Amino acid sequence: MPHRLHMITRERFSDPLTIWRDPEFVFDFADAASVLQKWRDPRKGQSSREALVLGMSLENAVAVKNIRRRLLVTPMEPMEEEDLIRELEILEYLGNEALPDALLKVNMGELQTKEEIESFIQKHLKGFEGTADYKKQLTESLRTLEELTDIEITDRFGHKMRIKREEVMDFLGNQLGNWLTRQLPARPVNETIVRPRGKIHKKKTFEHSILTSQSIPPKSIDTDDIVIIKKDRNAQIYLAVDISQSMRNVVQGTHFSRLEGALLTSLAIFYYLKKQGRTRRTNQKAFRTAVVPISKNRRIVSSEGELERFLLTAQAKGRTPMSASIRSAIDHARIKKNTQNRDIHIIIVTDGRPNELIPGYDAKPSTSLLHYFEEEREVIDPVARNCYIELNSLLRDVVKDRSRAWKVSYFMIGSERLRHTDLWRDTRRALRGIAYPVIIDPSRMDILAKTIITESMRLGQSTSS
Amino acid sequence: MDNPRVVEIYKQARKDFEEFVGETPEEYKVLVFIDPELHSSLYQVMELGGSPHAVLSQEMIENLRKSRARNYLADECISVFPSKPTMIYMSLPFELEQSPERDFALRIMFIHAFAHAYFAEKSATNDSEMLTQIYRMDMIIKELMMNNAYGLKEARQIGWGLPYFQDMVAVIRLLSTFGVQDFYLPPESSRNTSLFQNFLLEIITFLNKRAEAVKKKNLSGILIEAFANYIHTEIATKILEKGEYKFNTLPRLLKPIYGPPMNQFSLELIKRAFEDKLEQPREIIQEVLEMKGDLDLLNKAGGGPDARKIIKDVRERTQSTNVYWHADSTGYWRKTWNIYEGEWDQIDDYVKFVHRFQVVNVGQWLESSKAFQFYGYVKVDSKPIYVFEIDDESVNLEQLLILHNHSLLYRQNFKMPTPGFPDIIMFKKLDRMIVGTLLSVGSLDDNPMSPWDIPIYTRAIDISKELLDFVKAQKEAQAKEEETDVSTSVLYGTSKIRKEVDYSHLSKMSQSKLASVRILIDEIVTQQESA
Repeated sequence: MPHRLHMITRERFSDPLTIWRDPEFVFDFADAASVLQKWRDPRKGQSSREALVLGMSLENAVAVKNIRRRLLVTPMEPMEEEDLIRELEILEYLGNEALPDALLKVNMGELQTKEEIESFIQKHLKGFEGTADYKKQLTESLRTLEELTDIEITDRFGHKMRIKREEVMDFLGNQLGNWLTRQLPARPVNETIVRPRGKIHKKKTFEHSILTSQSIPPKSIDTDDIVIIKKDRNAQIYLAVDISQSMRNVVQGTHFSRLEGALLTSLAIFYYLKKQGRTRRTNQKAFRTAVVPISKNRRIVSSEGELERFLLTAQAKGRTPMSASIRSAIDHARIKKNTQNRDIHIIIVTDGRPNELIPGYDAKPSTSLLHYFEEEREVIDPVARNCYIELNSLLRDVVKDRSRAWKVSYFMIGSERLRHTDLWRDTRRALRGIAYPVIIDPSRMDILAKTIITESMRLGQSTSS
Repeated sequence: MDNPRVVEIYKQARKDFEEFVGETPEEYKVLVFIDPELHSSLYQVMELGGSPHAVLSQEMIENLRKSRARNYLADECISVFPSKPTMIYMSLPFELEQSPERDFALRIMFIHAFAHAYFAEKSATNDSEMLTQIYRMDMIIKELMMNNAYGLKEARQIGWGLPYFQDMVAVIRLLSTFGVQDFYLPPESSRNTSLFQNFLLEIITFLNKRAEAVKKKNLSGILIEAFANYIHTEIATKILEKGEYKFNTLPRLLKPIYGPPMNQFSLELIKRAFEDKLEQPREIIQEVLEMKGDLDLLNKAGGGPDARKIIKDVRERTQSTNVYWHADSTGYWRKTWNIYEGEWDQIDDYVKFVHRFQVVNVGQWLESSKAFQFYGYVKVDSKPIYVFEIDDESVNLEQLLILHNHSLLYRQNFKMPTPGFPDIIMFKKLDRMIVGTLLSVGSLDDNPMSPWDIPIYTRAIDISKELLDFVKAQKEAQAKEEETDVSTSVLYGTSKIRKEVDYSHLSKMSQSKLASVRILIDEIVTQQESA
């Protein structure tokens, strides 16, 4: 009576282990800002670490239960069985020893990040017998254990998206990086750049002169036509971000602050350049980006781990010790330039005046700036004046460097009215011969990243001509 | 059929069954999975949800998927859902190579499944009847969920619908099975206001009905297994004695129906119960079919103490023979001992329990089970926070939110789309640790987009002495600091607004649990101050 036998395939019988999720999602800058806000929420941090361990334990418990069942029921080959028993032992140990200890440490506030939790568990397993090969496998399985659905956002069409907490930075960075790429012309930075150094690109120069002289072959080749290839040059980019108190202001018409806008911008540029570097197909990284928060404790945020910490902990508070931060960036850059022969590009983003001095610094500014302050701006606050003098001295020093490997861009957050203020005049004068400050409308934090990339590119070209 | 060998074995098995029992089952379906992975998933869903169409929570499914990806799920080779018609699911690794061992194993497995089907048709227990009902209800629930949530998504662009409903169905089913039936039900008049209301009304009623059905089901796990194991063992022994195959020992492929302690125990139990009739198998079958549940069989075998003695005997005897079912003989198999011991302990507990309370159906059994325990509530400024313990892996933080939203333990003015009911503290045992989880909901400014958008606050702590000591020490240090810090509080006034916390409504619980409830409640107090 074979009519009762039915053959079942995936087409006829759907997989019962399905999760019904909504894949469509439209992501924009405001969404990114809300993700960042949720991510930075310190209360959520603690509970999410706990939830991470809890999630791991749940999964561990399910796995242990299933392995026990499998051992009882399924006929197996010797090797397979041995492996499974070993895995069971490890998972049982994880569930009984490592994870409870980890949760305890998290409760006590001793383990702060996902990496710390992971390395704690790894350390726990050190005393456990097992081959190195197995440990590697375990790292992988630990990685798969990290399942935490913590941050949830809704786009304006009502689609939901959930992002794992430890993937937030990568996710946001990639989203913003791609989004920035879409806004910019196709090959912006790493092609040929008109610069008075490096090799002459004969073909490009020829083409250029054809265009200017409007004839083939060209009648003459002017100096303007010369295109110089920027070959094998690697760049180190410093993004100095103001995180003083005023950055706490909410961006008009949105729900996020200037600081959050600036953080997202840094993240976008970091990932954008990371991506650009990747497309160059060299084994070197063409771009290295470092974020320099303008704050009391001078630090250079250059790795992804540091960036993550910075994004999580940055607070808009205190004064603006700009010259000191720039100085530490310059010191850092000098080493990079001398050891790795990199071009240095310092990008400064601020929303006001610098207002803290470097103690004991002997500034050597341009005489014209001194004249300016003496003759036209007698009423200026002496601290602000000295700050500008320090800034001028520091930046002039590097821009005048004979290697011509230094470039500075300066962005000011403020409305167009800023052009009629003393702040603008002072800044312009302080940066004369170094960079031309660019004003960015504070309500358009979302195009900050685009402006920074395009403007600093244009500056690079214009200084050379 | 594409595979005549399977069909031949199938026919042969039916013949064997008819010869031994005198009749064959007629109401069944054999579903052969080409994809063994799919079969093992289905087996899990049946095991955890109670029927092939049960909806599991996202948490559980993700964990199971990972287990499946790492090949931790059992390959059953056969699983039976004894509704009417009985569903016999099998995956077919058998067609890979042609060997007499595989043929024999398949034949015996078919016979085992037929025994289940026959039992479902003829038995006096209400097992198959109830399972059929549950099966149908699960189908309806699944369809309801798919249709309504799909409507939500299509018509109103609500993407959270499906995952939320999935979790909701799973969690409410779990709790209603444990006897908690106080869930938020919108008033009947709100049926037209929104799909969500309508769906809530339908689904919770259905889940409650389902829970009732589950409770009415007789406890018959041992009885069914005893019946099926008796039949297939007898037939298998005869076939082997006849020398139809070249070998005369059981092939290892039959591990799923010979290896587990439950199979060994139930077989021994039925043999002891009918010691005097071992020569007349048909009479034994007849008598077993007339039994109504496990209790009848246990009584027939001489009651609880005798049954437990059988457990002890078989347990000791099989310690040395279990190695047969394991491939490894270099000593690794010894590490499976504790798994067997664990299983035996469970069976022993079950038998002890059934005998002691003379339990007949699932409802009675669940009433006194410790899988769900309610501890009362703590009041913080007249807002109660409910405390309970639940032993189930499918509930994690997200599912806790659903529990929060739907448990009608406490009613307050709520805002749509989902009501925010009491804050909860849940204890859960995970391997060695007991975790206390707090879920508290902050104040709502405006209507949230989805139930996930509610501002929630969660904490999870491991109830251990170290933590309790740590918190105590921290508190003492803080108190000291406050003493020395009097001047600032004089200047600025104390920032803390003392909240009324009332612990008098908590029922008895262990000291460490009580201490961790206090820690979590403290957390709530300070959180609301700073917010």
